[in-house]
Amino acid sequence: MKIEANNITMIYPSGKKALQNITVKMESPSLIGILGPNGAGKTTLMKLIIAGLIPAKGEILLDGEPLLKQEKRLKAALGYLPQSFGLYDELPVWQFLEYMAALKGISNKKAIKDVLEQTNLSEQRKTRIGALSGGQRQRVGIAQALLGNTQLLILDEPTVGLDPEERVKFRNLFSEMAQDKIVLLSTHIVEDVQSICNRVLVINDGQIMFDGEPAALIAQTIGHVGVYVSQIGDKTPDGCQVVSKVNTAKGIQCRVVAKHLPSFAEAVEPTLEDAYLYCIDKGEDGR
Amino acid sequence: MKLFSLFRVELRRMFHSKICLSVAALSLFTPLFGYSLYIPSSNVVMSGKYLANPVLAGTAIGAVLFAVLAIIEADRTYRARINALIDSISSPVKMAMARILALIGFLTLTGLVCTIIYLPYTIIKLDYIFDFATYLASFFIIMIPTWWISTILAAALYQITRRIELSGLLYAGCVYLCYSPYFQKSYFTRWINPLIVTYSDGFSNAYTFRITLYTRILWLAIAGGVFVFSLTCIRRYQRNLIGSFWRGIRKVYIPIAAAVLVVAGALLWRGQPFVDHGPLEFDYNHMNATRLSSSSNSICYNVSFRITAKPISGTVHGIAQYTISSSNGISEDSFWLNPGYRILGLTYGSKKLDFRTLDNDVNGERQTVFTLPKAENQILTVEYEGFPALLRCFSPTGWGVEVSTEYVSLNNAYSVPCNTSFGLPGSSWLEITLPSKLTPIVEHKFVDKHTDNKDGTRTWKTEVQCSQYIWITACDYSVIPFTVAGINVDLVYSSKYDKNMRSYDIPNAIKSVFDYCTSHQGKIRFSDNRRMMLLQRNGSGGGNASDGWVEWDEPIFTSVNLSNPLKGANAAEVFAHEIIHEWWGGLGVECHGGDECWSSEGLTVYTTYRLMKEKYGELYSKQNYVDVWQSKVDAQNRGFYYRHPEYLEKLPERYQADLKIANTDTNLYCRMPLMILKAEKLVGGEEKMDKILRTIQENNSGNGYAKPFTYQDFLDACGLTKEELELE
Repeated sequence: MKIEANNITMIYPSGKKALQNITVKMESPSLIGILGPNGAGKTTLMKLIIAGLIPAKGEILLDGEPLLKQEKRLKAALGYLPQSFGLYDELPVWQFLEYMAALKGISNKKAIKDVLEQTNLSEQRKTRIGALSGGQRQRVGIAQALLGNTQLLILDEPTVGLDPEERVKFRNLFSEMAQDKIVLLSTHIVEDVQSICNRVLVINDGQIMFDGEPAALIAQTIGHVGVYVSQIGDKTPDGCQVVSKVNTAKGIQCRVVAKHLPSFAEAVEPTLEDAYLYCIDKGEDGR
Repeated sequence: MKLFSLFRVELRRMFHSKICLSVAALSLFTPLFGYSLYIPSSNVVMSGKYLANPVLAGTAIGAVLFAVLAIIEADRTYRARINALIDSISSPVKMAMARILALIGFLTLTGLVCTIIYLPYTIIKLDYIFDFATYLASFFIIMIPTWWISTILAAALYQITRRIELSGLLYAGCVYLCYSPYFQKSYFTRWINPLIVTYSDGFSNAYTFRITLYTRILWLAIAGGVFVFSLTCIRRYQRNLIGSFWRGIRKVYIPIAAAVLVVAGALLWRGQPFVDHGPLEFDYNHMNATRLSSSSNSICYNVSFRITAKPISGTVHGIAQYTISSSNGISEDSFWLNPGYRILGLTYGSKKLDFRTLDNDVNGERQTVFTLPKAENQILTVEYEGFPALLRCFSPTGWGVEVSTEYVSLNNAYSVPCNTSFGLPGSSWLEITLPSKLTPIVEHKFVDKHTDNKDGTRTWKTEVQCSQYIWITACDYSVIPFTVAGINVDLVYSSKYDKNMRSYDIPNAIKSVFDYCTSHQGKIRFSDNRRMMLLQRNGSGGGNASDGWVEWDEPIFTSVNLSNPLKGANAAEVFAHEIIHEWWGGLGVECHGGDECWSSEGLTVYTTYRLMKEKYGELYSKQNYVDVWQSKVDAQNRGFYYRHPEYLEKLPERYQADLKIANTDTNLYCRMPLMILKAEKLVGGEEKMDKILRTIQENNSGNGYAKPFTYQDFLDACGLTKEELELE
């Protein structure tokens, strides 16, 4: 499967410009992480790709054909977990998945059984959804997205509400699934992207700030991440963004990203989180 | 296949939903309202009380409940953001279809449970009257399809507005229309509360079910059309109504399907075969003009009619043959026939004639025009077939038309073309083919001759007078013959009423009315050497009478009516009233300007009052008769349109007709009796008035029934002037 979004601009009826002239191509197999602050346009981009929105400008192609003409094919190949969603609380987990399976045209009960196992919900299969915890509901959401032989898996903040152990498990699961399909993962948790994605998109203010491998994003940040020790009451140097502050015996150890590190800061190896913040910071400085 | 599996899982989901189950449970209780609180149909008939009204209550209230459910369920998917998952993997149009089909399936199953739950109680209460086919038809023709219509409409309104309060408001408006005065009197406008004036215990409900089924199909088409149209308005791509609509109509088959359904509904409305398209008021001028004039150059020597009732389809097939000499060959001739019938062909001798059926429905007739070639003694054959239509001006009462296996009534259907431009000889032959178990009564006389067709039907043959419409009725009748006041009377009624007629001793009750009238007002004005027929008919609670016959609507003899001590006088009043008509003539209306009509109704009502005064006392008769007359006349006098008739013309036709009919009824049934009561006081009391009335009877006994005496005759007999009888 191949998806191309060419020069996409999305303006909501309220006049808000959510995406500006974005071009992005995706081809299976790949696991793409989308990073960006709130309101950056991540969810809008995902909705455009699942044909939940129509762009104001530009076109999206699915295997070379306009997406809106291929809606039926897209829906048949899609597994989608939105950021915010509801479930039929009155249904037991099994029946809800059966419901979603029917929507996807899946009549095979084994498919339901498989996703229940994958999402660790087998024990809760007869439990009413209304009686599940927040994390379990999130897993039901993931389970329905995984149902069937999806070629395109789009997951908007999938690990929200999951405990660390579950998060790791699902990260690995997404990674496994990406071996033969496109998996698009939007998240605020940089660690998730760092550990499994072979490609990262950084979006801010409706524009793509970076599109490439995580290592490349990190590489372009080398020399822009440093640490120094400051005291209480010291001001953050101009042009620096504090990534973390750790209290030590010598004072507060600050980790900063900056286009030009202050002379008293010691350059260190950047992480993906540093790189992401630097990327966003750089983009905002450029405007 | 996918739609079916969507339907299946959605239906299963509903059986887990608390709100769906609650609505289903509540709807099972809704027929209970029909036993006491919601009484749209006659409660006097047993099957009306224990079947029609519970079903109609369940129909209307259940329809509202399921509409609310449809709106809540549709709204819930958006409010709870379930659509965020569903819309990504399924077409919202297909999902909307699956959802409405599942809802229809769910309410159908609820209706089925409802049918089963109320069965034992209905069987117990209706006893020997219970008919399983009628019971099933009540639920499956009236209730469940109405729930479908309501649910589809509500879902459509939500899909268009996507707002729960707005769609609820629009739906409430649609419901209100059905209960508004303008819509209430038409079978075809009432989508949520089918117009069912009465059920029948002893005759047939086929007409009721046919028209209700027809209106359900009509409204299903319209509601379906609106629903399909609403699919174009389903919000998608996060667009508003207009944006979504422009995307929606790109699937052109959707608006086309919507238009086809709505147009089908409109065509069903326009082409409905049940009620003619004539004016809302009976046109006496038309009746007189067409009956009395014969301007044709053709002369008819002989005429015969053959009609066949087809109970399965509810239609009639007819052949009329006239032996005619046509001396002109240029001018047009015509005949009038019920508008429900389609003319299959006209031949004159061996020549096929061209003809035109005009669009001029009036009083339940429609004119067909043709030109006879010049010829001597050739047979004009008219072949026709169709569903006999009811007169629009009588349509809410429902009586007069029925073709079923249990009952045939063509009393209002003008089923033989005897109103012709060329005039007919005095008598003609009528052959009527009916199911074997039915006994026909033609022009209020039994038919003697019949042949068995060996196919479950019999053909009856009788001579009829062609000067009037031919009244035909057939049923499994029972007859009780008796003699009273020197008159041989046949009490004829549906055999299902055998038990009631004997247990309530109806013949004796009738005899008491005859005895009262004969002793107080003289010998009956009734052609000698004939038997009088007292006939029970299918209808909603009134009666009719003419020379030598009285017709009573069915409810007068139901157990509910006869066993209710509070209503005893009223029931007696109706059948006494119709018998008393035999003394004072039929509805021979003679208008003296304005709306003040004089007819024998005044004397009949007055005599009924006197009879009730004798039976139940002065207080009762004052409260139930004189006070009622006075209050209605007072109300009429206060009425704006009565005082300012010049504004009446500005009202819609339906309102005009209602007010005119109400005025005429008040004049006939209240104003005139009050004037006669005033005359009674002026001439010196009841005995003096009885004497005057006896004299009138004796002086007019030779005039025959068809000539009611005039208001002036009455004033002269009393020695009073018109001014003296004017009410204050």
